[in-house]
Amino acid sequence: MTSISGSGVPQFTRDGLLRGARRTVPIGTAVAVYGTVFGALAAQAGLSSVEAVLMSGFVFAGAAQFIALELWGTPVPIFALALTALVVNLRHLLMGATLAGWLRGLPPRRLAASAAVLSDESWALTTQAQRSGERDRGFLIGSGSVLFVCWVGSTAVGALAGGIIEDPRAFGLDFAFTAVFLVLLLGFWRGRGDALPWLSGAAVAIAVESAVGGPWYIVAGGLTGSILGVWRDRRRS
Amino acid sequence: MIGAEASALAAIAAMAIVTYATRLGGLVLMPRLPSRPWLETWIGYVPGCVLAAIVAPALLKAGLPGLAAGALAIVLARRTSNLLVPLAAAVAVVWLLRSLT
Repeated sequence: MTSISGSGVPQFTRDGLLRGARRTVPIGTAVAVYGTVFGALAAQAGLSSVEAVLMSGFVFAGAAQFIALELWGTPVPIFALALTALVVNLRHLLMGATLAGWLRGLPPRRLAASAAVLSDESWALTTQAQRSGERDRGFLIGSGSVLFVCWVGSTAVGALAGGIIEDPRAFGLDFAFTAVFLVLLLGFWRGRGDALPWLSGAAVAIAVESAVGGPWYIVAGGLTGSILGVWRDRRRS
Repeated sequence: MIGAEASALAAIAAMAIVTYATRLGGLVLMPRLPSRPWLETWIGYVPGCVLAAIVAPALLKAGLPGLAAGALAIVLARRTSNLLVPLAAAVAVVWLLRSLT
C-alpha cells in the first residue's frame, strides 16, 4: 500500500482498517471471555438479555459496565450510574488527548467513529502500531470494530446462558467480577507513587460502604484517593 | 428476562452519553484546552483509585477465600501477561475454598 503522506489529509484506507482488525483478534478473544462473564453477571444482577446487550453496544466500556452491575437495583439509580460511568471513563480524555494529534485532519464523521470505538484495548494497540510506524488512521476503527463485535456478541451469549446457571456463587463465578477489577487495577500500577492514593481510596471506600451503603463509596474513594495524589504531588514539587 | 424497562433504558442511555462524551472530548477538546498539569495528574490517578475503591470492599466481603484468591491473582498477574490466568485461578480458588468449608 503506497500513498502520499504529509499532504494534509491523513491516510485512511481499507487496508489500514483490516490491519487494525487483524492485529486485534487475539485480544478480542480474551475480551469475549470477559464479555461472557459480563453477560452472565448482568443476568444475575437483574438485567434482561436485551438490556445487557444494549448496554454493551451503546456504552461499550467494560470497567464502567461491571461497576454498573454493582450499583444496579430497583429503582435503577440512573444518576449514580451516569456519574460513576463518567468518573470511571475520565481516563478516555487522556487516551484521546494522546491520539488527538495523530488523528487531526480526519473528516468529522471518521473522527466521531474513531471516538465511538476508542477503548483501553484499541487505544493501546493503536498507540503501539503508531509507534512502530503505522500511518493509516483506519487502524483504530478496524481494531475497535473487532473489539465491539467480540464484546457485544459475547455479552449476548453470557446473558442467555446466565439464566441457566442457578447459583453462580457455588462456582465462585460471582468472584469473577472482583477478580476482573483486581486484574484491571494491577494494570494501572505505575510505581510506588500510586500506593498512597490507592490505599486511601480503598480505605475511604470501605468506610463509606460500611457506614452509608449504597453506590457512592466508589465515587467517594475514587475522588479522595485521586485528589490526595494530586495534593501530595503538588506539595512535593 | 426478556424485554427492557424504561428506567433501565434511561440509565443505559445516560451512561452511553457521558461515556461517549469522554471519548470524543479527549479527541476534540483536550488539544484545545490550555494545559493544566494538575488536571493531567488527577486524570492519571483516577482509574487506579476508582478501581481500588471498587475492589477493596468487595475483597473484604468475600472473606478469607476472597483474600486468598486476590493474593494469588496479584502474584499471577505479575508473572504472566495473559490476564485470563489470574482470573481463572482466582475463581478456582474461591470455588475450592468455599466447597471445602
